Parts: sequence; C-alpha cells; structure tokens
Amino acid sequence: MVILLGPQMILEEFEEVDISISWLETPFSGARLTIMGTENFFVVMRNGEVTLKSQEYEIVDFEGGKILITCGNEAMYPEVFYFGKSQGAQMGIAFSKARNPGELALYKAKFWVYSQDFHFPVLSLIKFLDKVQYNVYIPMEETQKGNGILSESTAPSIVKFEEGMKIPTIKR
Amino acid sequence: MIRLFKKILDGLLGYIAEKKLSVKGLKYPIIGRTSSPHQIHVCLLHFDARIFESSKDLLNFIYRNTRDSLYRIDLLILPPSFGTSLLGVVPFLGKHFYFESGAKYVERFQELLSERFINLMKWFSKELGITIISGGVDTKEKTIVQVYDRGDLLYNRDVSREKPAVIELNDYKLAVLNEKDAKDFRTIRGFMDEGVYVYVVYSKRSYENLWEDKLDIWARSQSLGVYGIKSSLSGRIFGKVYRGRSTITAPIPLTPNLDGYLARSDVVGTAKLTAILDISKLVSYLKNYENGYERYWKLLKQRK
Repeated sequence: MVILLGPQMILEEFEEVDISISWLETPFSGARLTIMGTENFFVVMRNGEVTLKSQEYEIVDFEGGKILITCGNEAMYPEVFYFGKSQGAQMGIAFSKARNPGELALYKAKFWVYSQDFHFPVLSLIKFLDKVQYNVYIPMEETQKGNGILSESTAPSIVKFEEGMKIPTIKR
Repeated sequence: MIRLFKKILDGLLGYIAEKKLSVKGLKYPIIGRTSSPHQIHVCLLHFDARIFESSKDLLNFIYRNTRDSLYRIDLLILPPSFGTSLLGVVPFLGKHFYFESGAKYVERFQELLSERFINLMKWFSKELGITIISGGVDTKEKTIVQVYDRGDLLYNRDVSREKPAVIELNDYKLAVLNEKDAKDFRTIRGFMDEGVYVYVVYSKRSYENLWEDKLDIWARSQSLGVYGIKSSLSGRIFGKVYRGRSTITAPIPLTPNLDGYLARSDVVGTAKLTAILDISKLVSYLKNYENGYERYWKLLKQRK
C-alpha cells in the first residue's frame, strides 16, 4: 500500500498511490482514498466523493484493514488510540496545530508514544508557523536505528507499507 | 556440628555488624522546608553500586553528595537495592557484593540487614526532616522500595510483584511503580483520578538505547501530563553489570530544553539530579486537556 503524505508532487509514484493524506489541499485524483483535514475537522473521500466528515475520531475501512483518523484535541488522548487499536485499527492518522515550539515537540512526542504503546504506525500532520510537518512513527523494533522514527519532514513523502502494514519503506 | 558452628559464626558476625550500624554520635543538621506546598524540591542520587562498611559511612556518603542542595530538599531518591550495599558491615563479606555469591549472603543476613537499614533510614529522614525513597535490602529477583517520611516508614513493598499504591505525604501524593506499570497509561490515569501527579519508577533494567529508555515514565509524562522520577540501577552487583539511566521527567512544555527531561543522568558514573516539581503549574497545564479526560477516560472505565 502506497501513501502520499502531503500535497501533490511531480513524481512517477503518483500513479500508484492508494491513500493520499493532506492538510486541506486540492484533492489528489490519483488516490483511491483521500483524507484531508485540519485541527478542527477531517473529510474522507473515495473516488472523488466525500464519504465521511468528522470532528472527533473515526475508524475507516480500507482494503480489509482499518485506519483510525483523529484531529485536534481528540488526538491528544491516549484513550482515543486505545479505542482505535481495540477496534482493530492497524494505523493511526492525526491532524493537529501547534501554537509554539513546546506544543510542536509535545505533539510529536505524543504521536511517537502512541505508535510505541499501541504498536501500529502513526502518521501525523502538525501545522506550525504556516508549514505542515509530516511525521511517520512506527514501532521502534522495525526501524534501523531503533528509534521508531521513519520520517519527520516538512516536505511531502511517500510511504510504502508492505502487506499487513508491517515493514514500511520510504521514498522522498 | 557444622550447622552449630555456622550458627555461632553468623551470630558473631551479626553482632559485629550490628555494632557498625549504630547511629550513636552521628549528627546532621535539619534541612529547611520549602515555603510553597505546591513545589516539591527533588534530589535524586545516581551512582554506581558500592558497599558501605558502617552506618556512618553510608549516611556520610548521602549527606556529602546532597550537601549543596540541602538548603531545600523535600524528596530524596536513592537507587534500587541501596539497602543491599550494607552487606559491607558484615565482616569478610563486603567483596561478595560484586559477585554472584553475594546474593547468598544477603539472604543469610536478610533479617538483620533489612531491620537495621529501615531503622537507619527512619532515623536519617527524621534527623534531616525530609522524605526519602530508597531501594531496600533485596537480591536479583526482588525490587524492594521503601518510603520514609520524617521518621516514619510509610511504604515497604516489592514493586516488581506487588500492585502499586498511593502514598500520601503532607502536601502531595505519589505512587511508586515498576517499569511494566509505568508502560500502561491506564494504571497512571487511574491514579490521576485520585490526584496523584508524581510517579516514582524503580528499574533494574539497562537500556543503552535512549529511545527504549523513553518508553516508560518519559512516555507517560508526555501522553498523560505527569511528573516522573526514574531511579535505575548502575554498576556491578552480584556478578551482573547494570547500566541504567536515572531521569526526572515532565510534559515537554514544562521543561526548559523542550525535551521532556528536567534532569537526566548517563548510564555510568555518578550524578546528582535536582529539580523542582511545580504541582500548580502542572495542574494548570492539564486544564487544557480536561474535556477529553472527562469524555474518553470515563468512557473507557465504563467499558471495562
């Protein structure tokens, strides 16, 4: 499964994207599932049509797997990720906005902690100073450096998950 | 015959050890208390395991190492298995502390050492007028933790096996946890309901990787918003080498370096970690997250 994290880039991989996740950008037509959001709400689109709008947290089915999506304050509580995990979510996606560097570091830490505690990848989009930070955290034993950080950047990324969302590889 | 000889020998060694554990003639000045009940001044001593040959030796070591901070300490944290380092008071057995054979001797003199250590720490906490949390007399399998508050022993449990409990001190509450409890957010969320914001973790695990080290109390400080104190074992005890890291953690916005640590030691060597845990600051920080706490934690409890 290929996930585009961030706005559209000019890369060949575009044609293969399964899920596109962005901070309220123009929907990317090439993806089968598009998730767009801000710190206040998110929408899920399938084949160009909005199928879900929410301000809290939702669990979305995709290709037999389940994805937890949450935004803003809701993303701050471990209980939300715990519910998601207990309902079978294999991945978490979170949208938040940081008002200062302290909050930015805290949110990044929280999402890293959730990925370790609940043992699934957490993809977070944190807006800070008009830029969106795209972070991908996975259980630490699956990263080479043993730190659980697959990617932290302000540039769009493409994350490729192998079957069962187990061993992701990344291309920028 | 051999058994009788052993009994007599143990009695003799115990008698000499007891003499060395007297507190007669020792004097330490009382420490001034903090003015604000919401600010807890913490001092954590992290050092490589060592043996002490008398009560004077042990108490002077602590006092010397905390002397600079003594004008304001509420809570003094001593490492896991700290009481075990008293094995040095029993003649000829000191060196065994570093080798596997030491565990056998600690078990043999467990009662004497344990009882005397408790009396010693009770006296010391009363003398200084502070709260002390210390590792007790134990071997590899156990992690005994004791809490002394100005002369009283409030808590004495094997944290690796027994359930954690809330300890009520004069101005605040705390809970002592093992590493496994500290990794489960539900344990700490449950204690937060009772107004516990300070968590002390005793660990005998060694993590070279800082990221792995973050998974217990550092992670809870960030995900739940609590103060954490982690005291780890360092040095060689009973033939096993420990390389633990001690830390004082807080939510990232409340730490000056924005890294979630108020203080952190290295895996080897000696460090004195001091920090001020401001409970009122923490409570106002937690107010930002009250809504979700009501909604989600209560929902999770209902579902159980």
